[in-house]
Amino acid sequence: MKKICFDCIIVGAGPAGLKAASILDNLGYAVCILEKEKIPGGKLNIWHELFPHHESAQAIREQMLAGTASPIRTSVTIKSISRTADGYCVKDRNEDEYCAPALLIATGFKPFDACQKEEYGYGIYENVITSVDLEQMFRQHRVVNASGEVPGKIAFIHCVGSRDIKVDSEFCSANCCITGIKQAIELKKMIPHLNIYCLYMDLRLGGRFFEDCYKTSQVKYKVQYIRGRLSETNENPDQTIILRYEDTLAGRPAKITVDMIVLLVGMHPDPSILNLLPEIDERVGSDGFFGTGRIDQTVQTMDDGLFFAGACTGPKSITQSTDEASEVAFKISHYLKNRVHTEMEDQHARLWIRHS
Amino acid sequence: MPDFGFGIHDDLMIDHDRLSLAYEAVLEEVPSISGCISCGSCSGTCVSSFQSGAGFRKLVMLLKNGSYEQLQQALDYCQFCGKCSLVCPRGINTRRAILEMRKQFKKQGDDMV
Amino acid sequence: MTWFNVILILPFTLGLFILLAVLSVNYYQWFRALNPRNKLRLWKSLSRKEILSSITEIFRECLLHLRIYHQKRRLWYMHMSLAFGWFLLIVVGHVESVFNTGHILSSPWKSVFFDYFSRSQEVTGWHLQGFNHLMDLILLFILSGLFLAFYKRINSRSFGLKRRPLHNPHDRIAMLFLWFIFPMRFIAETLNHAFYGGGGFMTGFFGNLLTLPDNLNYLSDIAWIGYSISLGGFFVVLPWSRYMHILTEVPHILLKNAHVQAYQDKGCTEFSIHACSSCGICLDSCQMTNLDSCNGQSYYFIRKLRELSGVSENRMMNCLMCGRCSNDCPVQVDTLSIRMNERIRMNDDLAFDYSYLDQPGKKVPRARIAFFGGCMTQLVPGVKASMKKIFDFYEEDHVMIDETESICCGRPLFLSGQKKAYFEIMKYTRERILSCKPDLIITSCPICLTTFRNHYFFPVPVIHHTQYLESMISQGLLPPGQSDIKTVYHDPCELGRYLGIYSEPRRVLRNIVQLQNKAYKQNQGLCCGGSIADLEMDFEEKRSIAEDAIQQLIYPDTRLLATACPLCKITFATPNIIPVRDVAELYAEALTVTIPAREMAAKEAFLQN
Repeated sequence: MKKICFDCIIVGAGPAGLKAASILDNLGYAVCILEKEKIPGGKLNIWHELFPHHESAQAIREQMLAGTASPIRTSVTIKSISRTADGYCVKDRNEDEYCAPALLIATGFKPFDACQKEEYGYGIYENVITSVDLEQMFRQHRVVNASGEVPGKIAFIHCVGSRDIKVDSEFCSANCCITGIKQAIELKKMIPHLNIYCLYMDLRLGGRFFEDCYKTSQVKYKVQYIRGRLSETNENPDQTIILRYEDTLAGRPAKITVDMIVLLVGMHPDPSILNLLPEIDERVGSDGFFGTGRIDQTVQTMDDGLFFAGACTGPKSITQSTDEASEVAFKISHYLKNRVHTEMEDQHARLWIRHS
Repeated sequence: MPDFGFGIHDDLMIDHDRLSLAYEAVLEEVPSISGCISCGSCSGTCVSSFQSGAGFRKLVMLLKNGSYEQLQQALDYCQFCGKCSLVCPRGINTRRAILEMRKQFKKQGDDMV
Repeated sequence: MTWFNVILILPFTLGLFILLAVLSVNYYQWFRALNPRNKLRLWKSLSRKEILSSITEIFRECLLHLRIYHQKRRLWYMHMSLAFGWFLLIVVGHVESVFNTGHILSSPWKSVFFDYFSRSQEVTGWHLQGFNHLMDLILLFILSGLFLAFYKRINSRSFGLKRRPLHNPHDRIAMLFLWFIFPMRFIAETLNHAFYGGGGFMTGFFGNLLTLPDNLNYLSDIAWIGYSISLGGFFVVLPWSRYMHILTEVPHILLKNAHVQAYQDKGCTEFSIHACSSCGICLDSCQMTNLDSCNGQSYYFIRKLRELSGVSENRMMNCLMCGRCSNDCPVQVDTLSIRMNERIRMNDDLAFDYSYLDQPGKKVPRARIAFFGGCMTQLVPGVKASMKKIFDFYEEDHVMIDETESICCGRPLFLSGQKKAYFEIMKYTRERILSCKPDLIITSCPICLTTFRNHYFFPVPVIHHTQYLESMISQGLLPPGQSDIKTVYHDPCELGRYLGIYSEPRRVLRNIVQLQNKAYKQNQGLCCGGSIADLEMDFEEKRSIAEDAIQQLIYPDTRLLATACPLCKITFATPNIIPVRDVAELYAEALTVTIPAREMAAKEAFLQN
């Protein structure tokens, strides 16, 4: 049972946590990162290649880990977080305590549980997988269907668990479309004769070079895009999947039979950290993520030493996470400086009183 | 009773300058149909769409564009099962909208051009 | 008969006359509006021994309100004291006047204004004194109930009613008159005894307390006139207010016991809606009452039907048709049939064209068991896949009729009032199902099952899949796996209240999970809110009903919610509060555990027979 004090505790060793740690490190603060998994890196551990330039997730992970010298405690299960006059006290399952005046939450996101969309057959039909499952197959360099054969036709389903009032997530996850295109290109590189169909509602490709990816997938890799949201799936006796949807641009109902379907699941808020944080209901948005989404800075920050960065404040790409983490790191530094200043002022005031 | 009385031309062009009064009438009873994003889930799950070629999304589109003849024919095919309501990602009350459309056409009777 | 006597009895007699006239005209019209077949049923029932049970029911319900007694005690006392009390007042009053005058048949006002007419008489003999005390006791009984009624307007929650029902102007006027009747009688009798002596333990006692000079004895006369006007006024307004139920309950009960349904019968509907006492108990049962925006509950619906303006489309369509209101109704008004009548009346003439369903080429291969999943089965493929696994396990010769496409049974059309369209679809669907010439039809959707049992008239038995699974268990074919996950079973409205299937799903679940609600009260199940009969509520409102229902159903340690209806499953899964599984899915999971040799042998033996 130990108690150690730092200047800042960062919960989560993903891209945002690591970036904030490296900046705070360079500014000379004592930082500790607490990570619940066995290895640091967050979701960088499950991706194979990153959009838009197909960079290796492994390489980026190594780079980010090398950038920070702060201690990273892994396999930490947080039992409670309490607030004292000095700041925050995080207690873990082994009764170890970590204390600091500033606390940065960078817990990231949780992929949508596709079992909730029962009509898509995830968990019922074996040839229905999610983008996370597919990424796992990429890491193992082996993409096969449930019978162990290389597929000939694959369909990507967009907007699974996003923009959908029926699963209580009306927000757009912003990164699934480009993930789908990236994975489609990866598949084509791996299996050149593969036929790929993407069933989408809208293609949201707002980032730099995302549109290039899209064009490349169409022109170079001949991926086919059909505008229509998947309604129902069914399984043939040979375990291939039939899809039912409407080709909205043609204005008629349509069907297609494929070997596998990949559900592009959205980025959802991770509720587990919410139960541990004391009294922050007003800082959770209506979509379940932290923060209000406002531009007005005076509304955003509360001067209590609690900060949020990364995908836990909304669906983000890795670049956006690290950008936000940098901004928040500087805010934390500012906050800590002010605290020291106030403490020093108090001390000076006491000295004055004593002298006079 | 809303006056549907503009003539339906053979023109293939849709004139968005024209207001669709029937659409306004249905919108009053079922305000949620203005949230339609034309995703097509409703038509994909529709019990009758595979035989009749029309789903709820198409019905709303025909209503908005003023193609009342096609709409009336497509409307007759609906079996009212309710699956479209169950899959709509915007939570639109599709069955009420269809009932309302059917009633609008009943009111018109032979008045329609 | 002095001129003052005439003035006294005039309002009362006039009111009574008008009431009887209007009542006769109405009853005659409504009776004529009955279907000929139902008229015959009614006549037949009057001449049989069943008339005795009707009479006992009239006594038990109209006077003693025993159904309310079993639900809400304080409310029961209030209604019962007024109803039974007034009945006793009339009967005992009549007996009192018979005793006094010696004539069996006397004018009604002789007993109503007995104390006035017997002013000058000397009251001797214990029996006449006894009547005075008895009448006073009954009056006290009524006044106590009246006090409760007054208090209920202020604080309805103490009576167990969540919402105080809002009354319309007619009802308010009638209620005012009613509230004046008995206090006026009390005042009139008390003043009467103050000036002329006599009276029972209450009116005589208070009368003696008041020492008033004799020249004020016109006060007593004024009070009597007040009493007469209250009575007369009440009688005149009665046919246009909720108090019509006082008398209309009698023919309503007779019709009910003659098995006359209000469905598609205008006369029976009229009797039913006027037999509704506007007590407000249905507001409590209705799950929409918690949503401020809903106004379609039976209470308002029936009241609007009685008014000339009729019911608006929105109100008519705003009903889950779950049956909770008619189950709790003390008068047993068949609210479901009445609502169906109105929906059919307004929507049955809408256009439709289902000729595309006529596909003679589409044949289904012959099989012993035909499984029909219903249109929603495609949205819950887990149930379909589970049933397939179960059929394969038991090596049944089966065919799944709607395995790859959705077929509608037609009930949603029926529930919205489009009856003609419904019968058209029914033709095609019925043909499709029977084309495989099955010996047994199994369906996993209670909505389809209700409509199969009501209108399809299949030549072979049609059962729910939980009944099939229960029959497997009764034959000793228990699934090998039993999980200890704590589960609560939810009774779907259509399976429970409509079809009465409660015990089979529970029996199945007891053998495969740890069921927490083994006991059940019939007809008390909650509606999931997903109803296809409600066209008015939007998604958010239906969802909040589902959330409320889940919170009421589960215990703190419940880990799973089991249901037997695909629509309930979809509706309960949406709020994502607790995992929801169909009974078939749980059964299929229990089958995948490795089978010990003993069970294998039993299965082989069964399949060989």
